[in-house]
Amino acid sequence: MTGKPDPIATAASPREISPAIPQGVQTFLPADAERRSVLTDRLFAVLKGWSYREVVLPLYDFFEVFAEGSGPALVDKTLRFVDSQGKVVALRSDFTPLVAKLVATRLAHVSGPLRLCYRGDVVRLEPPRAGAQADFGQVGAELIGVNGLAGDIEILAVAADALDAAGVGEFVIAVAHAGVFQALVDEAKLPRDAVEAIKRAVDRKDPVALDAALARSGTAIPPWVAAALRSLPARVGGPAEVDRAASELPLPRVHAALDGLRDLVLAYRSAGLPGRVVVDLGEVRGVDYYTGMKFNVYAAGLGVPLGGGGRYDTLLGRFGLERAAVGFSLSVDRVLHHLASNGRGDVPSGPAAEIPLPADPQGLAAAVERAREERRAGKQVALGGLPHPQPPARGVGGEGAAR
Amino acid sequence: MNDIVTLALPKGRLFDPSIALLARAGCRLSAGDFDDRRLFVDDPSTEVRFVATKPWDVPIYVEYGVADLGVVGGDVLRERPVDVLVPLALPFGACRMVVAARNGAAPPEQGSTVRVASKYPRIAAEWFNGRGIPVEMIALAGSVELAPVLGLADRIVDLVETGRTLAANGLAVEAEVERFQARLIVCRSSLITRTDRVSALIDRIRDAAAAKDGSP
Repeated sequence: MTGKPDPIATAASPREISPAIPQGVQTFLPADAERRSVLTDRLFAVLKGWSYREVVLPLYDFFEVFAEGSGPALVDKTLRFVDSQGKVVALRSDFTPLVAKLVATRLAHVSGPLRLCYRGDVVRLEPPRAGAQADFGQVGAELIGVNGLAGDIEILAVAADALDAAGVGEFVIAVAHAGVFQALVDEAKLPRDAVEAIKRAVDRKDPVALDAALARSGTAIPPWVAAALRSLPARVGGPAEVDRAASELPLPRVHAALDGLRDLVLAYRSAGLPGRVVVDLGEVRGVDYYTGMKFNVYAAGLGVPLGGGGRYDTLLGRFGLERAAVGFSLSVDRVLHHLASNGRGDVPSGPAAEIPLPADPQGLAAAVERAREERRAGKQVALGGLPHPQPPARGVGGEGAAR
Repeated sequence: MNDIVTLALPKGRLFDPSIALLARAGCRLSAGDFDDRRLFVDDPSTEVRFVATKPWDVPIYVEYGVADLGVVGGDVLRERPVDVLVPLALPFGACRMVVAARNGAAPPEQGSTVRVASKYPRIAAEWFNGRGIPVEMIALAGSVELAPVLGLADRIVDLVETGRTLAANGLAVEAEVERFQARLIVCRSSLITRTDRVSALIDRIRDAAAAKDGSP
């Protein structure tokens, strides 16, 4: 390791490969991998129990599916590349546009409600945070063709049941309605840039930034709209907050949205579902496609949401099929992180055994058979010291090198 | 203290005014409660735990949800964006971020690259980029005023409270980048999962801040 390496020797010997992995992706050692897959199975079983049927979605699709589907909030975090035909494609950063495309193209003939679910990783280029790696496992469900409250409450109920089954005791679903903010900015006829700045300020509940964004908007905003936008961030609580907002906002579109939210919260509470539901009218961020109810699920002590979802009645239309839809996804890794930091989510590893292998052929067959029986009984059995059969001598490139 | 709410305080220039504000909001604590070793103080009367952290760490504690609320300078929040709520502007920590150069320095030649030293490379780069001025950022940890004196940089971007440090080093303000003040930040999850406790504390701090604003 001293002195200059001999250039010829360097060229001939294999180069050392960096032990680092790219930022964002992750590996799991057995204990964590097992916890993760047991949790995924448990969440997924609840979705199946609600009669959602599994679909498999592409790892990557044309970039426009995400650009048109998810909107600017996610597009910047979507990893895109060029495929072998020179087309711009992107690793999936969101399952929902993929489901919308699948339904609009391959299931358009189905007229009744469709219940579909999926599991897998999405890739989002985000600064690493607690339980928020760029590559994270999701489990999700989409309910197509069921309008209004019936669909909304079902999706909340499935999400709540899944979290409950996973052992997330106290979680809170924060519900909002995309129509409230949209009706207000439509009323003021604000330009798109101004809407983005106002949305960011409302989302952060930042009165200073909101005043600045309203002042900079370059539009004469009706004072009552400005006042309404300023009041949204504080509207966090129960149905009383919805009523308070409704009394201040004299817009039929807003009233329809708020009525829907109030009904949803009351329905959730009377249904005796696990967890709690809270209204947060200032929750305005996220993907572009939500048209109605939308929500995030939080657990105390974890800064990021465990999952979320909402209604997207126009997204399928962008793929050519007008159909109401509502859905949610949960982040397996965040749920796992939350369970682990509360001392839960451990998976007992099954009984493990090792059967020593005799060298003689009869003993070998008996040991293999015994191990097989024990495995059928649910044990994890390794065969110790399996004697390696001598490979017959072969030339380079023969079958022996195929692995 | 079952239902304890945690508030992160920044050590440094915002520490004493933060404590004074919280005391006016009815919390029982004083700067003397903390010393070099003691990093947290519990107030059983309001069920609030106060933790003293480095100013740049406050947003991280709050974003991760290990602190429910925090006091932080607007400069820190702007330089290192985090996903938190920012519901209150606090009546202290007002300062300006400026571009400064040596007294009598010629304005940068059109199109030439400016070398800028700053503790705030993100804000500084954004400001120059936004004006189409090519910039070479030199990120420093402190004593930024030294950079033009020693010829490390043509200009600096830094916070100014009184302007005395600039003057003492032969520097003059060229342009104002932005004005900042201290902010109260809140963890998104905390507001949703503990709405009553967290909102009540925000309201008390808001009232105390407003009372200060109204006094001469």
